[in-house]
Amino acid sequence: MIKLQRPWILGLGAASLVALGLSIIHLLNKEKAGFWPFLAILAIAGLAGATLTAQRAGEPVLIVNEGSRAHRTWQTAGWGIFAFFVVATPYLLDSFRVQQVNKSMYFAVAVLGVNLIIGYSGLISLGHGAFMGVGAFLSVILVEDYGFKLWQTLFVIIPLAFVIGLIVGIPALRIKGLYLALVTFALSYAFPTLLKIEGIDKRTGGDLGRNISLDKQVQPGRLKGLLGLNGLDAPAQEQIYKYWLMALVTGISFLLVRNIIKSRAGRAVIAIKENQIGAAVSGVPLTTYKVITFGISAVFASVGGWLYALLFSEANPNTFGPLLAISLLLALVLGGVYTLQGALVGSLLYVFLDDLRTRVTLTSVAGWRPSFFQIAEGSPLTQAVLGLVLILIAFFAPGGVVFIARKVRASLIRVIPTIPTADVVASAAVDSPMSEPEVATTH
Amino acid sequence: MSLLEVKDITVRFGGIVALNDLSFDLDEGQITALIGPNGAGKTTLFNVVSRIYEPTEGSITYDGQDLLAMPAHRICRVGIYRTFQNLALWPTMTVLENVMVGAFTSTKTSFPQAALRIMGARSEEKATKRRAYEVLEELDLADVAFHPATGLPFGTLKRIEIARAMIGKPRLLMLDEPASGLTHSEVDELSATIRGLRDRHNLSVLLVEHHMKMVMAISEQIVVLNFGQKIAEGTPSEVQKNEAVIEAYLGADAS
Amino acid sequence: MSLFLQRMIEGLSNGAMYGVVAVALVIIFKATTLINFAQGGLAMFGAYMANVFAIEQGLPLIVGILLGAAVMAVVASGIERVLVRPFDPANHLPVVLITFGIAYILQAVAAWKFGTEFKSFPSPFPSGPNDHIEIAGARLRYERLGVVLVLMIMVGLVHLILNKTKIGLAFRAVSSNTESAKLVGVKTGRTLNFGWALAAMFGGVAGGLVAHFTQLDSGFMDKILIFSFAAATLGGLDSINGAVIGGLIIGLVESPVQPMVRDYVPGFHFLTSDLALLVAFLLILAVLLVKPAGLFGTTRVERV
Ligand SMILES: Nc1ncnc2c1ncn2[C@@H]1O[C@H](COP(=O)(O)OP(=O)(O)O)[C@@H](O)[C@H]1O
Ligand SMILES: [Mg+2]
Repeated sequence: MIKLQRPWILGLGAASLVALGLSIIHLLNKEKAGFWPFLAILAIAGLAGATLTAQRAGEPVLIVNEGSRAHRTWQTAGWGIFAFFVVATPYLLDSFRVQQVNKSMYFAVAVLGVNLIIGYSGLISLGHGAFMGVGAFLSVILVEDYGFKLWQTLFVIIPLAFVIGLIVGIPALRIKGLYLALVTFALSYAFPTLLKIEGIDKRTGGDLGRNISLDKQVQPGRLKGLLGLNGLDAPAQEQIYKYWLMALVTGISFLLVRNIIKSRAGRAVIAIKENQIGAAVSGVPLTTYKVITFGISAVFASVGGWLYALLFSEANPNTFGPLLAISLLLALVLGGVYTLQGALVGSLLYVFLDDLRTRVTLTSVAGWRPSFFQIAEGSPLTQAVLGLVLILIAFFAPGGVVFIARKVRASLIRVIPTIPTADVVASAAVDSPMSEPEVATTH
Repeated sequence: MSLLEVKDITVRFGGIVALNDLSFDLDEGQITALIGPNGAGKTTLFNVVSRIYEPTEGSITYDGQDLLAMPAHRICRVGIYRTFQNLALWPTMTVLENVMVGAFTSTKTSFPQAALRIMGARSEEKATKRRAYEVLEELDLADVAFHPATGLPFGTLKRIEIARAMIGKPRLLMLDEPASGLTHSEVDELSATIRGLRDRHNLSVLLVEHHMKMVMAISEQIVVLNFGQKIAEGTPSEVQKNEAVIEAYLGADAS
Repeated sequence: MSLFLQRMIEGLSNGAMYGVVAVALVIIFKATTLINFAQGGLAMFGAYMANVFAIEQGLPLIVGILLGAAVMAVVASGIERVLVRPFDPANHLPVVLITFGIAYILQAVAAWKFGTEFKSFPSPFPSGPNDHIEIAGARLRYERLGVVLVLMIMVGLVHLILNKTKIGLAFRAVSSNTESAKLVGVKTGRTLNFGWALAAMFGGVAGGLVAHFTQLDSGFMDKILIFSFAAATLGGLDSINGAVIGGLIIGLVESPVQPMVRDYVPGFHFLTSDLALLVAFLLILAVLLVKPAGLFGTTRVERV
């Protein structure tokens, strides 16, 4: 049953992927551009060529039985490329760019929570910025005022975010329709004002926000040598150290969500989204499951907020308003609703796109300079780009980038699932999440 | 002994009386057919038993328990499973996964167990997958197991719904027009399948169907509805002779 | 007492503005079960247009506000036709993305074209220091009374349109059952398009009235939109009268009730007007918990 036609296509694909990743990293560093732009173009052409050739053949290049040696080799190669970039990225980028990657990670964990509710439960939430705020503020307050270590605050944040999620979710989720969107949108606006109430503002710092004082901030510790930080400048040390902490938490978060969605509980959640009545007659208690899922998604958002506090050592009420909630939504749909990898890919794309848009200056278009087209750096008009992206995605890429990547992969490989038998039961899922090498380099 | 007792059930939608004072008993181990022209209220009765519609009046007793006191998701816990006239499958999941959801009540993995893959979550997942595959094999659906539950022929999708119900080990199986869209030979196959399932799994079956040949061939008891009202009840031969039934079906497809 | 009466008129006039925007939300929700998150943005832009027509071009303010609202009605109609209609209304996410996208774009364009600083905006009613009537020592300002009057006119107008015009009747048919309306030959697309235009018109007029009290900037309708959500939820998301009454109730809670509680009930001194958003949020939660259909809304049976 194994079939491999024209293996060079796979080789070309893999090589292009690595080349693309490396050239993106170098271009981000704003070093002399050199031959990197050309390599990037070449790599994109290589990927497109491999995909098109494979698609023209009408059949995937590689057809394997699930769990067979060829399949495992493919998976190992994919994970290998992913692991290479995970390890190499912080050391190849300058510290400003590492900080952006770190930003993408706290974003990604929150987006993961948003995806649980929007992608997997089919319920629209616009309030996860507030849940991030819960995580960020509790971190700062507990560390500063109550002598917690940062990691200890998680034991307060996680249960509390869950309960707050229930409080917000229970009223909205008993009724069908856009009610959750409505409630959470109002929450996004109400949350910053709540933090500024007289009395509460003593803890939150009101409009000014709070910082974690220098001596309590996360500092590169004993692992310095192991992480190869000796000899680097202080900002690089700090960012790379935080990169590893955040990567650990992000990795665990993705693993937990993957386990949930590939389980009895996860299938029940998806069933509610796709056919509520079918789920009910199969025994799924609809409201309970929706509310619990919302609570869990609030927890991931709050952990995203905790990572925010870890990264920036501060929290300000105005950060966690409606704009943040919409940004989470934007990152989610950029990456891909209802896909696991979408949260990470979309967050990376969003963070870099948002950075790019604030630097854009447009003074002339092809030598023609009507005043209408002149955009100064940081012009408010650049915000329209985000709105435009939202609309374009709804029209042209409802599955986001990951959906496109999956199409590419499908033209390269088909995995024939193993029949579950009494003795050897292999995973029946054709898509084993996170096994795509594409994930590694899409930023 | 009657398993299900429907008593004086009335359902109104605004001005429409979908079911009017309907009463009948369903005997354990039998195949009972519920027939009647379109709009007679058959699906409405299914929805009342499933606790999707609230009846205006009446009571339903199942195995001595008051069904109307239970929420919708409890109904399958007491052993009542059903299929839908217009399908209620989950299109982004594979056929196998659809059937696995049917095992919801007979499995236990909770959110925390699932997230951490502890306390038997892994082995239960494996066992469920295996059971689902076996049910698919029993219903001749193994070759579509890994196909998404969409884009397949209507008849196949309806059989997938039967598989989803069967994995829950029903005591009472309610089938809403399982033969719609099938050819004559496929209808015969389906009749044999339903009978086989009944015999092997000690089922009671409540069948809504328009194919009279099939209904007459496999059911032991028939209840006839017209405009929400019961107009006849009895064995197939009794019902076939009934004046009111012939009247109601005049001009309707009775083949 | 006179202070109370004064605050009450203030509350009613604020409530009237929430009510008008809430009616706009309800018009669209009734017909499609969708929420237009760009409603505030459209109203904001309408107010800027009114500013252009009235202040820059020198037209009478009332004409300016109506023209601004009309422009936004045309824009909304275009949005519905091009960006919303291609999607299945049962699938909420795309429309949420699109309405947020539009809100972003409108805000960005307004900030870019009209500047980011607050602009003052006149009232179409006499608003000088002496423009008020005095009842029992309370000064009831014309600019406040006028807003309530406008609300009453608009509610009368919407009922007239929905009950007496052909397109209005078609709109009611589509709202109560899209499928049956289609069967009897109603052109649903065109009818919904009219709904969007009507809603934007309402929003635009509200924007032109609110701007006087809040000043003009690209985000000035955000807070109003949240209050309108609360108003519509309270009244029932599919009831136009409910939206109006909900708006008035919220206005009254905001103005006479809240300051009174703050001033006279011990321990509530933290209840400043900054908290209004939080109150609106809690109110939405409470309504959904206690009476999810709102005061005047209806719940529908879902067909299997
Ligand atoms: N949710 C509902 N709302 C309004 N009318 C309904 C609803 N469900 C069923 N009906 C009406 O009840 C009657 C019986 O329908 P149904 O039970 O589907 O008939 P059958 O399944 O026998 O063809 C029909 O007139 C139908 O229009
Ligand atoms: Mg029916």
